[in-house]
Amino acid sequence: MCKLNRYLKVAFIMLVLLAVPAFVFAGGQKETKGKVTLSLMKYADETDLGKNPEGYKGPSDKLIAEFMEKNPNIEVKPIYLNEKYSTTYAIKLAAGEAPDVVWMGGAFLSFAGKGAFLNINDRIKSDKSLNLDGIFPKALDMYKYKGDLYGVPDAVTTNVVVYNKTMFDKAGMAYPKDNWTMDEMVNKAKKLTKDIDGNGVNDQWGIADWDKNGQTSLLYGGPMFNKEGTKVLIDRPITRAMLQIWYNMIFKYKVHPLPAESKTLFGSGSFRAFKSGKVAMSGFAAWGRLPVRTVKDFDWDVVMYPNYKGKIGGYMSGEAYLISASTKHPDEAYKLLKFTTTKEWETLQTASGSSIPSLKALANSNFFLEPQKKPKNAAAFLEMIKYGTLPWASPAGREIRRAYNANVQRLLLPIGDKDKITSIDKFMKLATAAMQKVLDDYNAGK
Amino acid sequence: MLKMSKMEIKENIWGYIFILPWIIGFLWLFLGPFVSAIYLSFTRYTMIQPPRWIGFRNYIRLFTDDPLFVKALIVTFKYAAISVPLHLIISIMLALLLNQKIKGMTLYRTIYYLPSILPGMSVWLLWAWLFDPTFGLFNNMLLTIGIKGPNWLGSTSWVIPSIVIMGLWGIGPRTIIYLAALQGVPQELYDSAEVDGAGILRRLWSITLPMISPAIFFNLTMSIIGTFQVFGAAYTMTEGGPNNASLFYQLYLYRKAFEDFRMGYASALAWIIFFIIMFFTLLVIRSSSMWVYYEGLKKGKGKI
Repeated sequence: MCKLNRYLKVAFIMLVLLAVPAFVFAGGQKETKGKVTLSLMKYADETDLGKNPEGYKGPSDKLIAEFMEKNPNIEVKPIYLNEKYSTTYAIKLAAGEAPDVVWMGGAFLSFAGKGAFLNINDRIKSDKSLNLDGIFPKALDMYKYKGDLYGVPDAVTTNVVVYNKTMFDKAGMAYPKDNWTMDEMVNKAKKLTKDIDGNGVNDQWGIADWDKNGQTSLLYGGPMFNKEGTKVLIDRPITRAMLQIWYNMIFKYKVHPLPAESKTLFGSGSFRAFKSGKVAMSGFAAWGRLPVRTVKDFDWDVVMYPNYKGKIGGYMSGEAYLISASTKHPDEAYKLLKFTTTKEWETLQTASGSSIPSLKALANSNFFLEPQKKPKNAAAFLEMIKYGTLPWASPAGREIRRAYNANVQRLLLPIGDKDKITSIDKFMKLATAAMQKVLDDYNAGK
Repeated sequence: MLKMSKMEIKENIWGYIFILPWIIGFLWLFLGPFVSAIYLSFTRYTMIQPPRWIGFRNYIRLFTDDPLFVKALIVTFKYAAISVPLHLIISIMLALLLNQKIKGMTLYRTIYYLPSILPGMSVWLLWAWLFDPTFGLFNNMLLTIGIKGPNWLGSTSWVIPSIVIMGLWGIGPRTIIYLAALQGVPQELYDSAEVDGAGILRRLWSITLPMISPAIFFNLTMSIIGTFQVFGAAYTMTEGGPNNASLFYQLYLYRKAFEDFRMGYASALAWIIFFIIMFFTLLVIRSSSMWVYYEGLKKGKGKI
C-alpha cells in the first residue's frame, strides 16, 4: 500500500507538471471583477504593425485605450493578425473561442452564411444615437446578409488605373483622363510597349496587372450573382467583350504580361510591376499609395477605369467590425462596434491613406484626398465607388472563385498547350457551368 | 505468459509512470482527434454550427459526385508512380558514388546533403524562378543548345514532372541512409566475389543490393508515405494549377477543411487517404520477406 502511494505520488507530480501550462493559459483569460473583457480581432495592416513608410504607429492600440478610458467597465483585448486571418477566425469559432468583436473584409458573407455573426439589424434601427446617413450606402450594402445589416464599415476600397507620367511625357503622349475608353487604353498600351534590345521579350510594358484572373472584366457586368444568390450571372455581352480585350492584350498584342509571369518579370511585392518603372499603366488600389509614394524615379498619377461603350465597372470591398453570435456581452460589444463608426475612429484608422473612410464627408475632404501628395487625382478612388462591385459576393464565394480560376488558368495557358481554351465563348460556358454547380451544391446543403 | 517477479512488476510500473507524459500526449493529442475524425467524417461540420449527423453522405458524394476528388487521387498517384522509383534509383546511385574512396569525398557528401537543410519555402521560390518559361535558368540553358524548353509549372503535362525533378534536389537524407548501409557491407564479401570472378554489376546485384535491402525497405516505406502527403510545393508554387493539374490530395483536403470549412467532408477525405497509405505500406511490409535480407536470418523467414 505504502509502495502504491509512492507510485501515485510520482504520477501525481507528473500530472501537475503537465497541467501547469494549462493553468497559466487559463489565467490569462480570467476576468477582473466587475469588469467585462471583450476580445477584438483585427487584421493588422502596415499601420498597426508600425511598418508604414511614414512611421505612423499603432492607431488601433491608441483608439482602444481611448475607448477603455470612456468605458471604464470594459476592457478590450486586441488580437492582431496579418496572415491566415479567415482560417484563424474559423478555428477560433470552432474551438468556441470566437472573439467578441471581429474585423472582416470580403470574407463577411462566407461567415455570415454559416451563422457566425450576431444580427444587429433591429438594434441599429432602434438606436437613435447612431446615424448611418453619412456613410456611403454601397459600403453598408456589403455588410448585409439576407437584407439585414450585421456591421457598419469604417472603410472601403476601390480600384483605379495608375500610370507612369514620366513615360507618357517621354513618348509625347497625352495622359489618360477620367472619361477615357477601353479602346484608348489598349491603344496607349500598344504604343508604350517596347522591345528595346530586340530579343523578343518586352523591356517596357504598356500595361500590367490590369486583371489577374478576369475578375475586373467580370465586374464590368455588375454583381456576379442574382439577389437570391441562386444564379451565376457572369455571362453577359459586356463581360465577354471585356474578357476578349484582356485576352487580346496578353496573347494578340502582347502589351500585358501573363499574370503568372509578373512575379519573375518584376519580383514579388505590392505593386512591384508598376514600381519597377517598366510599366506604363497598371491596376491600382488606394492602399498602393503608400508603397508607390516611395518611388523617386518617375512621376505618377491615377485615373478612373476606362469605359466600354459608356459603361464602367470595377472592384470594391469594405472593412467592418462584426459581433460574434457567441458573445456573452452583446451590449458591450455593440458599444465597441459603435465606437468604430465614429469620426474619431475612422480618422485614425484611415490616416495612413491606405483605405477610403466610409464617411462621405471625411472621404471627400483633404484628409483623404491629400492634395499636397501623389496621386493628384485621388478623387478617382471616390468616383469609382459609384461603379464598384464586391466580387464573389456569395456565402460560397471562395469555392466558386476556385471553380472559376481553374478555367481561367486554362484560358491563360500558352498557345499550343493541349489543355488551353482559346475562345471566350467556350471559356464562358465552362466557367459559368462550373460556378453554377458549386453554387447549387452549396444551396442544396451538400 | 511467464509469471513476473516482484522486481519485474515494480520496474513495469515505474516504466509506465515515466512514459505517462507521452501516454497522455498520445491519448489527448493523437487518439482523441483520431477518433473524433471518424465521427466527424459522418457529419456536416462547418466549424461554426455543431456537427450534424448525415450518415454516409460525405462518402457517397466523394465517390459519386466529386470530380476533383478523383482528379486529386490521379494527380497524387501519378506523382507517386514517377517519383518513388526515380528517387529510389537516383539516391542509391548517388550513395554508391559518394561511397568511393577519392580525395575530398567529405566535401562532396556535404554538398549533396546541403539542399536538405534549406527551408522549404525559399527552395520552392527559387525553383519557381528556375522553372520560369521565359526567364528561367533551365529554358535559357536549353535555348543555348537550340531547344525550346517547356512551360514547366505552367503546363498541365509538365507540372508533375517538374515537381518530381525539384524533389530530387532534396534526396540528401535518403542518400545518407544508403551511404551508412553501404559502409556496413563487409569488404570480405566483395573480395571473395572478386576471387570467384564476379564483375562490377554482378557484385552490385548479388552483394550490394541484398546487403543494403533493409535500408531500401525503410526508404521505400517512408517515401511512399511521403509522396501521399505532398503539400507545400503545390500550395506555394502552383496553387494546384494549372487547371488542377497539380491538385495534390493533401492540398485538396486542406482546401476543404480550412478554406471551405467543410470539416466533415475533409475528415472523410483524410480517412480515405489513410487507408490508401496503409494499403501500400502493408503491401511493402508483406512483400519484404521476399526481398529484404537481414544478416543472421534465413531468407524468407525474416519477420518484422
